Amino acid sequence: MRILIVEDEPLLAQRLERFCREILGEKLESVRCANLWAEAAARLDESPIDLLLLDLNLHGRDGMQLLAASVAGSFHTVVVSANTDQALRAFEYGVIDFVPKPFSQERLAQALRRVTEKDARTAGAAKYLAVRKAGRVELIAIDEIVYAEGAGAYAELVLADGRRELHDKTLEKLQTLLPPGFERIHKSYLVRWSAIKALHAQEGSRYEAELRSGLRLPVGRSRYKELRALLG
Amino acid sequence: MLRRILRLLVLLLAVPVPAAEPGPSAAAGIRPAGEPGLRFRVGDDPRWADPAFDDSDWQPISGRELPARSGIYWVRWRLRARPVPPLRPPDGLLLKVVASYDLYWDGRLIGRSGRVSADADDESPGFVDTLFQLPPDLLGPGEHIVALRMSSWHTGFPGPTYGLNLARGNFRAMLVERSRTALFSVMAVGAALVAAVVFGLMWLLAGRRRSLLVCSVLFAVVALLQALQAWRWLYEYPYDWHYPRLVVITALATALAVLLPVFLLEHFEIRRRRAWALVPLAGALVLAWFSTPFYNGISLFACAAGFAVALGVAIAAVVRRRRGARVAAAGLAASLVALIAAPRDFLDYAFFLSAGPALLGLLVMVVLDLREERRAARRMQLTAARLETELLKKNIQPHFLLNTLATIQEVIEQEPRTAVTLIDALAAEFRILSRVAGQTLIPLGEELELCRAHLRVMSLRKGAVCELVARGVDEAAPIPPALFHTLVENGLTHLAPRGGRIEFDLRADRLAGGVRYTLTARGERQAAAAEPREGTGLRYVRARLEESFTGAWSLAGVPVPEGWETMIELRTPVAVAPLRAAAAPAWPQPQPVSP
Repeated sequence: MRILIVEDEPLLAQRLERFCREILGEKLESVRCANLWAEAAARLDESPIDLLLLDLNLHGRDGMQLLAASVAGSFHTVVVSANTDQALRAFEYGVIDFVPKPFSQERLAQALRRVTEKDARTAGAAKYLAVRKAGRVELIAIDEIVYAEGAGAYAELVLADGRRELHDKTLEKLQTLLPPGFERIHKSYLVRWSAIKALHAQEGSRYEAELRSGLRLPVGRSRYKELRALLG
Repeated sequence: MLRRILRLLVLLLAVPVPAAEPGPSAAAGIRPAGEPGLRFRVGDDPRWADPAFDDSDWQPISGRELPARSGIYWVRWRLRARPVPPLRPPDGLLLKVVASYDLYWDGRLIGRSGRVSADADDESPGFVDTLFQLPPDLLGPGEHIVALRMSSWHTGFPGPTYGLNLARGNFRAMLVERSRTALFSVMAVGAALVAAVVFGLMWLLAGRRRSLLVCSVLFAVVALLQALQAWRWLYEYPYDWHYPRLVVITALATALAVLLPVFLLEHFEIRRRRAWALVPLAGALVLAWFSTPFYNGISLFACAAGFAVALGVAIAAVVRRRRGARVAAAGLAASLVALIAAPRDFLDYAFFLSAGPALLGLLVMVVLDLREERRAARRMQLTAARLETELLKKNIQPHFLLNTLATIQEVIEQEPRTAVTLIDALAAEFRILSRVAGQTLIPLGEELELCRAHLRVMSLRKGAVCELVARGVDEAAPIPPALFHTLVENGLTHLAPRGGRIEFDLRADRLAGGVRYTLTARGERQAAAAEPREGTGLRYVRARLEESFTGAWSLAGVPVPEGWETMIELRTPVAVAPLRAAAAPAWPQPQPVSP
């Protein structure tokens, strides 16, 4: 795992780095520290990361903009901050965890587990997904999303009004963030459960889910039985 | 010519006032003044009491032409009585006159007032007002003869003549009416005394504001004036006291006429145009005293002038939009109208009624002002309390304390000795904070101590040298607590170390009647936060400055090549005042400022 730590107090950066090494051991590919998000963000293209540990004063507009910019990235974000009163807001923006300062190694380990473990899910508190658009970041309300379609390193979000938005995270990372109402029906599709009208079995063991909009999406063979049971 | 016109004006005002000085008639009855058949003769002869005596060769005079200080003389006149009503016979005779006399009714001696004498030393003054009861057998219908044997050696009035006032009615009814006449005056005395005492105490206890003292004196004058009015009705006094009493009453009325506008000028703090009000008033009052011999007229004129000038001041205050000015103006206008419309009996029971609206208006105005002051004081208290809370909150709030605790966690595990240093520095900062939190102003030296304790904590946290250097500052100068501490905090948030250092440089420059502090923060300005927004920190600084240096401060911040510069100008000469450490009560407390 590649980790970036943004923390302007050297002792705390040192503490985070030490804990990461101790928790992840072999699994840690690289860890970098930066004083400010702005200077680290510029170098993300050349050296991509999987996780951002962000110290952030979320009070004020600057803080929230910064957070939106970071959660729009392809990586997961864990906020490490003393401003616990802003934790809920951070979750709404789609951070995978909020570690309050002061923190122990156990607490950080718990946060890292959410990133590393397969099928790990957040409490589903996210309300927005941030998407990058022509140099700025726009927030999409999760309520508007009907389904997400995986496209390699990206995911395409399809909204209720038919708009499609490109999100920088993989479908797997999105699944971790999105609330439980979304089901993975196919390796490339993550669909809002309430949007599915019916399941259809086609010839040749092809399965399809019919959405309320009339649109049909493929269903993975391994997922069909489970979904069938869920639909009752 | 001018003098004659003014005199006419004064007389016009005084016209309805009974010309005979000893006051108005109290009961419906017979007024000798203007009564045909009032006859006068100098000399003394007991036969002159006889109703049958022929006085046709006596000198006919009016009731106000009696000669003062001229030995013994007699006055006779005829009364025609209507048939006697059985329930309330007209058996009462009230005489108001500044002379000693013997009263004869149909030749019978009814009563004496004092001792009449041809010799001034031998005369003993009778009462001004005397109510006689006529024997029932003398009340029959038809004509009656009243004869007065009089002498007036002790009349103090400077004029050569004086007046006689007589009223006839039911004896019991007239007794009751006399006490009723005193009622308004007595009530007025009580109310005015209470007001005078209350305002006097307020003046003593609440900051010695001059307008409150003037107000107290004003109501004391009203109380005294009314007490002197009531005196006539409540206690009899010899007629030689009548003149001095009237002079004092008129002087008090004149004082009232001056105090009213002076009070309003003080209250509304109209200082520059003071002469505009007081010079014409002084002229009017001098005129009043010289243009009429009647004291009632002088009082009336003086009060009318005082009300009018006070009304002018109140209107000026209304134009200036002063609090309560409308109420005061309305009250004064009502009083002025009442005075001009019904000047009769002004000095007796009518005074309270006509001056009432004006005084009530003033009371309401003062109370409105006090209420506003109380509110302002409450606001100040609340502000102070809020600022104290804010100061404490700023420092025990997550960002600072929790971050410091996180750092302590790390150093405990990595280098325990540093942890001890860090905890010491944190404790030092909180000790100073708890010492200064409840105060509005602290010595600059203590503030610098607080900043340095904070910088010691931050040095360890930032892993950089964070320092404050103060140059040319007076460590005793008072400043709000955590003023520079907040600016230092802001600097540390927005600057990154340059060459391993963040430095703060505080410089004090004396200005004319003030001081300018310049705090320069040296470090690497962080691109994302180049312009510190108006955050809670700066809001706290502004609120604290406004609390202690209301309207006399300025705050400005500019980016400079080496970092950030903040300038604070305090235009109160506080740097001059010597201060002892922790001597809070001696420091200038902020005063509420009237708009």
